Amino acid sequence: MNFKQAINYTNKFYKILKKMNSEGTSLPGKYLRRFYPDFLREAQNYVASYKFAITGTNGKTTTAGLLAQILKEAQKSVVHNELGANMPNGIATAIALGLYQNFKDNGENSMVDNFVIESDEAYLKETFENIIFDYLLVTNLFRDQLDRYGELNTTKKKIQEGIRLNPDLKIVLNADDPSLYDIDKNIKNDMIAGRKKRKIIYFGFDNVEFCDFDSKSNSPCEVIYCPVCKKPLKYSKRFYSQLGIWSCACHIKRPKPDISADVKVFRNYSILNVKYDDKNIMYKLNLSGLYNAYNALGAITCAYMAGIDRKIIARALDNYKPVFGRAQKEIIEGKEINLYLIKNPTGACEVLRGLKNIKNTKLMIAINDKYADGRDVSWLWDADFEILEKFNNKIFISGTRADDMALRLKYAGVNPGVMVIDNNIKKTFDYALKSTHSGEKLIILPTYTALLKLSKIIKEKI
Amino acid sequence: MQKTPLKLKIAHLYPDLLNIYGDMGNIYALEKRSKWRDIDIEIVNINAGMTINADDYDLFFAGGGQDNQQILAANELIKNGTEIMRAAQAGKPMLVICGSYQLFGKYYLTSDGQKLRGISVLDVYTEAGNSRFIGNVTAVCDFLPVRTIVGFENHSGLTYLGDDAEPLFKIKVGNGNNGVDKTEGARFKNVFGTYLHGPILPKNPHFCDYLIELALNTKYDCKIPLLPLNDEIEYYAHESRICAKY
Repeated sequence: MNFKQAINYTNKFYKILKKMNSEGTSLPGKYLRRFYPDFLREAQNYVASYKFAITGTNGKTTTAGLLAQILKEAQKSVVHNELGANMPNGIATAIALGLYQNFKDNGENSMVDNFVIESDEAYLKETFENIIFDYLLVTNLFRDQLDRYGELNTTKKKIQEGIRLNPDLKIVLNADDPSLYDIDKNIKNDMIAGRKKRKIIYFGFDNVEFCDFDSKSNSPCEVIYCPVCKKPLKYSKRFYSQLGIWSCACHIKRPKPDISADVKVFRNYSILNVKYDDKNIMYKLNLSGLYNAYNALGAITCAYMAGIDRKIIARALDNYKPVFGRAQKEIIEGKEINLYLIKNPTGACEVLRGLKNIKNTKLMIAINDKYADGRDVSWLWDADFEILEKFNNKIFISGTRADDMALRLKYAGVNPGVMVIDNNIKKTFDYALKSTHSGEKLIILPTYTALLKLSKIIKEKI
Repeated sequence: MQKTPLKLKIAHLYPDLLNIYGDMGNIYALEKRSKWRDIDIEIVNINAGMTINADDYDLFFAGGGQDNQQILAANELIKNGTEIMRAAQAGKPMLVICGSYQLFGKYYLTSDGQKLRGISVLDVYTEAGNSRFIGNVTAVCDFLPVRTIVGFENHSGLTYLGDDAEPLFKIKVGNGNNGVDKTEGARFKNVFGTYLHGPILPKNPHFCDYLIELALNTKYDCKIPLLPLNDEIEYYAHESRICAKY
């Protein structure tokens, strides 16, 4: 079997699976890599320009999606694992399908311009063993699915294991996140040792302003410890979770961003004023939440590195349609449905903040505890569900851990009388949709596998 | 004559250092379940640098933390070790989970060979293991009105009990202290150490109430029965987890 045949088979296999209505985006890649182990390594020869990898605990999918959108807007052909399957097998599937399409559209052996690959933190090393990327963007390191990797420092070490394999890698980092501060340093057996310094590009916000809604959260500010001396950090500004303008008595501080910005966050959109090369450019982002402004700034930084024109970036940000549970909007039976993936306390808190005092809304929360969700759901107790305390419309609670979610809401002060509890996601969704009156919105907060299930149900209804 | 309300004061040890895995839920459970019974409750966060007086508090709680934070917490605990021991000897209830369970023992030998000294309230010691125990746990005990306990464990330390500590629970599903002897947690007087998150108290309300009762009994020196609550959701969550496989 040669490379082309491998791609063709994978494409056929994927189509058959899709017909069978299977969710398997990683299965074709799994067989592809078994029968053609060098697939990823050879695939990179078909990329003419930059290869971007994106990792971090939160915001990978949106950041990668925005970057891919910008590159496409600039008439580049892009291979991108847009479905969010971000382990090596899923990445292989996405690349095989992308190259297949490109060969078909632009002729045999034609090259694509870019890779935009979102990678799971723990599998970055395996991905990097096969593909030599030009840029790695690390979005942040929040407490994410700790049960999978043990603890946050383990996640950081896993990313470093990937970094050490590639001495020419340029790293794009969020300057506002102290936990990323020394991620390029103290790497065991670093291939770069004694050669030169790694190129780091920092991005960050200088000013954040919340404009038309009350963004205050009830959760106490956690103390963050210096990544070097382990003493508590000081913040002159704190934006959310551990992100902000930080410094420590041991003289380390937030690195000065190469690309900095001020942002005005409105309930449904944000305005970013980005400073780079002594130029100020305004961008409007049609996504809610400061966390999405961070995702956009990361994507803009990569786009600047790729030399994309400012006007094209602005147009792409304006046209960007959220995918797959990241503030995704759908209309079914004339009713608006909003989906927000939740998977860890920081992300959930940011979503919940936007729901404060919200009117004319029914809420559905679907919590699963499959491997991809994280088996441990105790993080629900670290998220600020107290925001829903005064929510007096119905809350539909579903998923394999509906019981834990209901219990959490009870102790957050939600009246058990408004809760409707059923493990079956389809049944709950149908009932929630039926109970949503015209003029009302249905907001759904699912974990990852619950979102997969919901997407399938919703697709059948549209 | 108006009755003076019952009052409890809880010391939450180093919440800014020991705060992963949702252990805040245990504080919410103690707080709400006391309030629902009109027991006045005050929660005091003990932060680094503060001095503890054992007489000031009726119940002590500490959660789990990441490795770096655990080292900081170990130093703080040692400064207050004598007072905590005095409170333990006086029969005051304490619940310590995971990282703090290890630090309430004699020592914790970390994977890089560092020996973290504990405060020896519990006669246990811990050594880093080669793998991590992660998953749902079902255990049983004989001192609570409902015999089952459910939770989630996530630890690489292996804990072994000495003669002065009795095992808290017996493992049915999961690994517990060391994955070998089927024990989970340890008890000395009213000090309870366990590896179980979940968090443990909301979904095991019988254990939560037991701690509140112990605190009241010790403080007021007489038996004070607790009013029953509607625990439908609590036991729905409890029963959904019984013998849940990882």
